[in-house]
Amino acid sequence: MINTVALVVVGSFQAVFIVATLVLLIAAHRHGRREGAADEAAVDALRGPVRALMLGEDHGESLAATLAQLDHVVATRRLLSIAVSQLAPEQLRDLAARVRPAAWVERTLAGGASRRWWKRMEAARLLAVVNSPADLPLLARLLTDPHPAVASAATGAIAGHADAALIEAIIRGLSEQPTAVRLQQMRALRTHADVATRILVAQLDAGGRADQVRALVQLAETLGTPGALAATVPFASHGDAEVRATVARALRLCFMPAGVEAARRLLADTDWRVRAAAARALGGLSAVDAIPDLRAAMRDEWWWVRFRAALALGALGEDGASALAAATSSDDEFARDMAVVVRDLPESARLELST
Amino acid sequence: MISIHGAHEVALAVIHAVEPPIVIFMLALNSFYALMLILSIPQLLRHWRIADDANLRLLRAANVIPPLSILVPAYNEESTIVASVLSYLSLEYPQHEVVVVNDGSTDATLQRLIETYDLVKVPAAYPTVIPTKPVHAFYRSTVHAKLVCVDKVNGHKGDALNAALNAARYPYVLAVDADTFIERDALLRLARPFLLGQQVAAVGATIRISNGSIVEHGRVVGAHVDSRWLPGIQTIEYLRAFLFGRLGWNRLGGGLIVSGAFGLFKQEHLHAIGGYNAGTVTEDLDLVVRLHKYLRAAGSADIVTFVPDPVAWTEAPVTLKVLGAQRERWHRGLIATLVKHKNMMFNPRYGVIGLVAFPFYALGEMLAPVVEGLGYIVLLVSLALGAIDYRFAVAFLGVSMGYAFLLSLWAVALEEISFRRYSTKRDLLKLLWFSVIESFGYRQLTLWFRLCAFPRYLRGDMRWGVMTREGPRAPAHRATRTAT
Repeated sequence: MINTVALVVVGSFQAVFIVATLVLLIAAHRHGRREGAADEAAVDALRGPVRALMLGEDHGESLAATLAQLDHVVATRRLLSIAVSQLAPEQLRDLAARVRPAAWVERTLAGGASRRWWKRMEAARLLAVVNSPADLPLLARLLTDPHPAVASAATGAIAGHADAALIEAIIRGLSEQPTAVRLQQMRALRTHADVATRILVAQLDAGGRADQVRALVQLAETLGTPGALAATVPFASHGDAEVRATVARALRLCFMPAGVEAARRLLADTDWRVRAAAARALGGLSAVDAIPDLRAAMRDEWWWVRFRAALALGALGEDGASALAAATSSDDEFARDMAVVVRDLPESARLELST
Repeated sequence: MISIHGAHEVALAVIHAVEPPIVIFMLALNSFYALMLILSIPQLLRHWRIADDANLRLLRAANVIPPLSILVPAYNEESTIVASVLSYLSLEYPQHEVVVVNDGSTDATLQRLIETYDLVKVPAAYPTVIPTKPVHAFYRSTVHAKLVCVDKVNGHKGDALNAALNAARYPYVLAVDADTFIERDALLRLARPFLLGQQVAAVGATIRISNGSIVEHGRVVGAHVDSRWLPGIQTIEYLRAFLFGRLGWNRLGGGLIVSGAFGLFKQEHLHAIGGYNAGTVTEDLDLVVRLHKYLRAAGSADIVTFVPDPVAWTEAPVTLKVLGAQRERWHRGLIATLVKHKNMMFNPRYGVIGLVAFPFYALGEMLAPVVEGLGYIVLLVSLALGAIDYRFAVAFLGVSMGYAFLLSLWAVALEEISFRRYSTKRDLLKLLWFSVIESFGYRQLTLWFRLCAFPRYLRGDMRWGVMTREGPRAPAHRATRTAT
């Protein structure tokens, strides 16, 4: 049985751990204060040079020189903070060109090859502000990094590189990325919409797995260019329901006859998510010709399809409003109730719910 | 007739029989907590490295995280509801709505909302998926497009949350308490699992104690530790629970608790399990256990996870009466949930949940007050009968308290290494002081409160009791400092 001696031994170990933890605690507290003080000192030192750059008194020479005197971690942190909150794009370009050759930048970017993901993340963040054509291979690697935080951070650098090979690699890898990173990269590609559209259309023509096609259709919706949206229309008859739903969502931006026709066909799809998205698209496209289809959709077995169809009718001007009013006395109880719900919604709520 | 000597012998025999299991229980339980602590450290560092503002800015700017609905059940919250709702509306997030449910308040909660936010009655533009107590009316604000309000017959918190779930239009929902102060960027932080590519069914986050902190317009603008012993010790308890308790379980994949005061859920899963259980006093625990069951049954890869840096602040009880009622209710809810889902215990079908989490919560949490209470009795009786040496008793108590202190100290150290919300030396000293004194009185009191839950559970009593609050501390330039 446990005796007093054993308990005293355990207690002694506890005491050692307690003292060690207290030492750690005090050290952490002091380290935190020192780090805070160093950061404050850096902010103070950079205030004047930042002001000089903002007022056009120089082109970032003094700021680059001050950053060079700081520890590379602090310099990276401060530059990122200044870049996003205080500088205009052209000032940032000037500054980036001046700091790029600095040793501290090289040191942080060298972290891009590190086994530690947080070092790669710091490199990716810095690349988003400071980059040159020579950094393209590093950027391409970081954009497809297995750690999503790294790929996400690298996304900020896409805007600075209108490189077709890089854009093609990004588009090819989209379906493999986690949703949030994929969406970030799609939005970043808007800055190169022309090049991205050309590559996207070629890839859509080539087809692929359902998840790849879905990602490409999503990209077309994000880019919103007529060419990209037109290329999605053939996929309205794809075998995968999620692809068709994605196409139906994208079609709401596709202001062309083929888009309206595809949305009308999708309103009779076997999957309710597709039908609901198609109803929304027809409202967004102001497809007055589709009013009979939307009235029919108000008898759908799914609440969301009826709701979207009623909202779409509400968005189709006087003809739509008349159709909605007529539905309030429909012989179908569900269509009638839904028509009343949407008719009585305030205009602001209708607009918000339609988007 | 048993002689005095005989009774003495019987008592000694009983003591010797129960003593080893109690000591082993104490050592096993504390060792498990130590394991949780070790497991939590890499998790904490992982989140800490990614928690800074740059990532949040990327998420916010790119508008790539799913929209969410904040569910706010409100019952007699007339004094705080307007500020709370305003703080929820102004949270940083690309797209969110606030669904307030006036759960049959007998005060002017609804009136305050109608007047302040210019609410107008509208038809209910949503399908009723989960049955609730009757809804009187559905309102939308004409000044804040993101605000909707449901006025319904009182049905307690779970029922109000179900009504909010019905009205929520976004794929993720965040359940909060109407008196919780959420930090401005907490939702963006809570969305980190999406950035990390995790498929989530639920995300829990940190709750901290707001007593002693400075609150302005529904936000904590200065985090401090309350000087009073009751809220001060609860600050330590919360640090322990959230900084390494939840993170440790996160690593094991067996988190059973997502706080009802601040927890994110995938709406379709909540619909699939029928929403909250309106008949329980710990609806959050019950919900997460049912969610785990459902995810297993459905073969879903979605996970229940925890992110340490999004913070919501809540007010801790400042009187023993209120603390007692709260802890008794929590423990009663724990007993009810574990008994209700007892088929999960040691059931390999539920993986870590069935084989580790459920046994731990049953033996280490539910029965802990019984064993600990028995331990105190055995110790006192043993001393009285001379069955043990007083030095052994002192050593035993010392080791027990040493474990508790060490765990609290580590929680404080982890806080200091990572997020450092309490930045002053004075706050740090207070945390250390409360870590020391927790074992002298507070621990025994909460043990008693938890023991009281057993008879009430056995009587089938599922009432909530009353939680009174003293309200937040205002900034010094607006109000005088409260007694903290």
